[in-house]
Parts: sequence; structure tokens; C-alpha cells
Amino acid sequence: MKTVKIFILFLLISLSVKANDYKASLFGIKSDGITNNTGSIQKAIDYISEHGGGTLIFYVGRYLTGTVQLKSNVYIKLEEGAVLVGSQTPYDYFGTNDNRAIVEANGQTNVGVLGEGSDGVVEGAGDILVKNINNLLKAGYIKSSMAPGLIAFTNCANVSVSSLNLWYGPYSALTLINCRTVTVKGISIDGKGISSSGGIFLKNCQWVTVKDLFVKVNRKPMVSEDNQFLTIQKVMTDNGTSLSAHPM
Amino acid sequence: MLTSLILLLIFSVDVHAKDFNIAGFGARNDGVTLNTNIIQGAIDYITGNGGGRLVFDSGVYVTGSIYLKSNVILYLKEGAELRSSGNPFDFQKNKYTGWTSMIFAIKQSNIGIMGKGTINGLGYVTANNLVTYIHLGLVTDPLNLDRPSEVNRPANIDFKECTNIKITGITLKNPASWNQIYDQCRGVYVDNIRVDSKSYWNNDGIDIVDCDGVTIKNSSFDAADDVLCFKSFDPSKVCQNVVVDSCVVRSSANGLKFGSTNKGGFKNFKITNLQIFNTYRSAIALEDVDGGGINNILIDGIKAYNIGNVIFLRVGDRRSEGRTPSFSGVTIRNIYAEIASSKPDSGYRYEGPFEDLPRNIPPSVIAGLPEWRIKNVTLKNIEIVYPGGGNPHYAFRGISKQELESIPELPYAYPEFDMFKELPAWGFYVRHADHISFDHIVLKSKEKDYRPAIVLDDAKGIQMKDTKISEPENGKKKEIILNNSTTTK
Repeated sequence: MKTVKIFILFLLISLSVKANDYKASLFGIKSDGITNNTGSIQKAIDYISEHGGGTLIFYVGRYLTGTVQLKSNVYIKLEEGAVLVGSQTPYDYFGTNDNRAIVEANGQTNVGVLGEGSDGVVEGAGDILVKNINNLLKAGYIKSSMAPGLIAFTNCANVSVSSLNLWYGPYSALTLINCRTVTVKGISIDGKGISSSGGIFLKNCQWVTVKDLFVKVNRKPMVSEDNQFLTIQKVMTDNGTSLSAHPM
Repeated sequence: MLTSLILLLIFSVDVHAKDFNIAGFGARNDGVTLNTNIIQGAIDYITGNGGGRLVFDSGVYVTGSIYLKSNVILYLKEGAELRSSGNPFDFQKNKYTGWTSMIFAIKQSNIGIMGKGTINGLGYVTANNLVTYIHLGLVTDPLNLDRPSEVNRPANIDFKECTNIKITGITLKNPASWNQIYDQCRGVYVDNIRVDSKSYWNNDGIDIVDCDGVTIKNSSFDAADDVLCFKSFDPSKVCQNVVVDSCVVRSSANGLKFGSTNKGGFKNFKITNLQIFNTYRSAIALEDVDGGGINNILIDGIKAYNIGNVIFLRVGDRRSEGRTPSFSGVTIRNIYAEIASSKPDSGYRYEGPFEDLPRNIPPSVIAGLPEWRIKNVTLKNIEIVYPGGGNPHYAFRGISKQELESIPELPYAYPEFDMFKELPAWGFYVRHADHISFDHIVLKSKEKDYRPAIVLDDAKGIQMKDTKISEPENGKKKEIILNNSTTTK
């Protein structure tokens, strides 16, 4: 009897976990690398958040998008071979200079971007995007740079970013401002030679763990300001420097 | 005064128009890149920097919802196409207008879409994608009649409370819902456009709602639903001062449709020189069923071929909500029409549904209610050729007093030319109407029909001058039947 109960409990738990996983294709999200999925990914995030939360899972493929805003209790998971590809269009990004990014969240709880193993990739549009921004600046159509980061969380709690490759970022790869309880681990940041590429920007955060990182960028690998309870372990740059809690 | 002011505004916009090419903002005409935010960025820049034309060179520009703003003209060069992405999640439902659309404008002035290019809503794809998401539970919609609500499917254009609008030269095709909606706008100028609107249900031609000062001319329309649609949604507004001239119309519903929603009324219309063909329902439908009123309407010069019906004038009591309709002062003249013997829109995409069977080919209808009458209608110089052949064994309505008075009034029903099912005439059926003038009316039936040509029931002060009726083998059949009706000279 007891075993049955435990079994049922186990079944319920596993069911509930399963029920919270959503495949990207359910929302019509396309893996072809040319369909701009912003509207569909945002719809997916909104829907999952409104239905008790869960994980939006991307399997192998290239998923083009502009800024999407994560909502509470929603995680994006990039399985092996899944690449979240940033749009080359500056107008496809929203937010302030601090939090403009491909994946962005502001004022949300229980959010994150997770990889599987270390194969998930968030890929910025790099030099092409920078060139497009400069063209608009030159024409006078925009006033400031509009360069987006790859992932940015502001005013969030319980944030996870793990097992990811963050590539070709034209700006900070990962930004965390005014967040509480943050785990960043197993991240490889590679600006791939983009001149404006940056690493991690951490400001006004509490209870942050950053570990197992490799950072290769053209600007500062890490900027850390006014954080409390910050733990940094095994954060290496490409020239072999190991970064500590307050390296700047 | 207003007209000259509007003209002046149009003129001044054109004079100062500066051109901005959308390519300069990074748009791609590759048919793949989603340009929504680029187009919006360009519009926002131009409206904030003195206005001008946003020029699209030849190519396919994929987009979702955008908002047109004051002093900006979208200029689509020949071969340029603004095309829906087909993804309903790329489109917004605007809370203020209540509609979903590709191109919105709300409370803007001096705006337009011009050039020789195309707006393509990719309606069939977009609508069916939406249906899939509704079935998956991702979008909430009752799917009435197995289709998403009209307001949840993107129209091509939804302009509300805008002033001085120019829509010229372009082709508008394949919306997922209505095609182009102008609601409470002042100064709408539509010239030389082509409308191909039959990709999904409810694909109208053009919807003019509670507007003041509208010109539609030199344009062609092919639509699954009603084509030239005039509506009044707001009881405190009037849809008025409208000119329509020289248009070609094809519809799987009505060609010229006033209504059905008519809460504030229609006033001062001049409609001239229309050609209407392969149209399933009425060429001319004037409907006053929500207490709004229809006054001072001139319809002059229509040639109609292969159509279901010519004239349908109706006062009803569907959603009057305390308002009293006033249907008066309508002149319809210089009409030549040939009624179809089989389904006029057969083979067109989203052809009209069979309804109200069994019935023989219906006559033109002028039908008020006993207490709410249709008044002062002049019908002049009208020739209608009917197929005839009405078969009493298929459907029958007799002409005795009792039979005529047993025809249901249907005050609350949706107004449509065939709403009464079988009617007792093949040419004109007039009921609860006063001072209707028939002046040089020619009614020809190609085959013998069991019904008379004209039935007047509770019609007072009817004037008949120079009426010509021809029907083969009609023997001694009386072609004009009066019940409780009076005629004058």
C-alpha cells in the first residue's frame, strides 16, 4: 500500500514536471534560422506564465528572434544544438541601454535561460548588427547606439543562467542589475572578435553565485559594482587570468 | 468649406512631402525578413521629423502589425508588396478599435497609402494558423461557425478617428477578415485601387463606418463578402457625405450595402456609374434595421450582370434600442440589370452560402414594417431582365389577401434579399411603403413565371408611370397586384 502511494506520488510529480514542459513548435516557432520568431516566442512565454509556469524547450535548430521578455516562472531551455539567434535588425530590440537584450526580464521571479550539457547557444548578430546600427546613426534615424546584450535581468529574483555558450555579443553578454538570488554557472562567453563585445555586468545584486565560466571578449570580462554576498569560483579569461570576487 | 480645407491639407502634404526609402532603415524586400519593427521605426522617425513619404521599392516586405502616424504616406512602388508573415502572433489586437490589423492608424491626420504596390494579408494562411492555435488552446476563441471571430483575424487596414486619408493606386488583397475599415474618419479619399478580397470568410471590399466626407472612385472590387459597405456603429454618429463613382464590383454577398449595422444613420450619398457582375445577393441593399435612418441617397447609373437581385430596401427592428428609423428620400435611377438563372458566384473562392430554400428567384424588395414605413423612394428608368420560370411546385406564395397578409414580417431577422423565402412576385415586392414612384420601369421575364411581376401590399400613394412588363405565355395573368394599397398619378 505504502509503495503504491509512493508510486502514485512519484507519478504525480513526474506528470506535473512533464506538464510544465512546452516544445517550441507548439507555438509555431520555426527552427529555420530565417523566420523571425519574436511574436511566437513571446506568445509562448506569456502563455506558459499565465498557465502556472514551465519550461519552453528548443531542440536542435536555429531560432531567429528579437527581444523577448521572460515572465515569472518561465525558463527557456536550449537543448543540444539549439541556437537562439539574435536578429540583425536594431529595431527588433527593446529596452534601455542597460537591459536591451535578446532575452530580457524585468521585475520577474523564477526565471532563467538554461542549456543542456554545454551545447545550448545564444548567438548575437555581432558585426552585422553593429554595422546596421552605425548606418542608422549615420543617417540620423536613431540617436544612440541601441546595441543589445544577449541576456539581461533587471529587478528579478531567483535567476538561473547555466550551461550555455554566449557568442557574438555586440555588447555585454550577460547583464544582471538589482537582482536577488542568482546562479550563473557553466557559461562560455566568446565575443568572437566583435570589438564591442563584453562579458558579465553585475550591479546591485544580492546572493549571487558565479562559477565555472570562461570569458573571451574585447572589453572587460567582468564588471561588478555594489553587489552583496557575491561568490565567484573558477572564472577564467582566455589569457588564463582567474577572476575573483572584486577584480575590477 | 470642409472639402476645400481637406483639399488644402492634401495639397500641403504633397508639397512638403520628403521621401525616405525604407531600405535606408534596413528593411529587406526578400519575402523572408520580418520588417515590422523596421517599418515602425521608420514611421516613428518620419512623423517626428516633419512628415513625408516612406517609399518601398519593388520586392516583398514581410510584416506584422504597424501603426501609421500623422503626415506619413506609405508609398508602395510598382511591384512592392507589404505581405503578412502569416503568423497570427505577429499581429496585434488593438484595444481601442477592437480589431486586429496589419496597418493601424488611430487619431492621426494626413496619412495615406499610395503608389502602385500591393498589400497582401495572406489571409487564408494567417486565419488557418490562428484556427490551429485555437484548437491547441493557445488562443481563446469560440470558433463560431468554425472560424475565429472577425476581430481576432487581421484586417489589412484599420483606421479610426483619423482625418485626411488618401488611399490611391494600390492593390489590397487577401485579408484574414474585413479588408479595410475606416471608422469615424473625416476626409477619406480612395481612388484607383484594386481590391481582391476572397481568401477567407468575411472578406469585405471596403467598410466605411460613421465617416464624414468620403470619396471612392475609379476602383475595382472582387470580394467574398459585401463590397461597398457603409455602416454606423455609434448611435451618436452619422455616416454621411459620401461620393462613390465609377467602380467595378463583384461580390459573393452584396455589391452596395448600407448596413446591416446602422445605429446612427446614413445621409447624403451620391453613388454613380457602377458596374456589378457575378454577385450572389443584391446589387443595391439599403438596410435600416437598427433605428439609424437612411436619408437623401442618390444611386444613379448601374449596369449589373449575372446577379442574384437588384434592389433590396428594408426597415426592420433588429437592434433599434429605442431609436425610430427614418427611411426616406432615396432615388435609384438609370439601372440595367440581368438576374442570374443559376448561382451567380459559382466557382469563386468563398462563394456565398445557399440560404432560405426553397425559393424561386426572388424579386426586388421594398419592405418596411407596418408602423415603420419606407417613404419617398423614386425608381426611375430601370430595366431588369429576369430568368423567370418560378415553379409553384417547388415553392409557392399566393396572391390572395389572406396569403399576402400571412407573409411573416420578420422584424428581428438579419436583413437579406431572400429573408422572406418565397415571395409572390417575380419583379417587385413592395410592403409597408408610402410614396414610392415607379417611373419608366421595364421588367422582362425570359420564361413564364407562376407569379405576377409586381405585388403591392399596404403600399400607399404609389405612383406608376410608363411601366412595361413582358413575360412569355402570361395569358390573362394580372401582372400587378394591389392589396390594401393605393396608387396616384
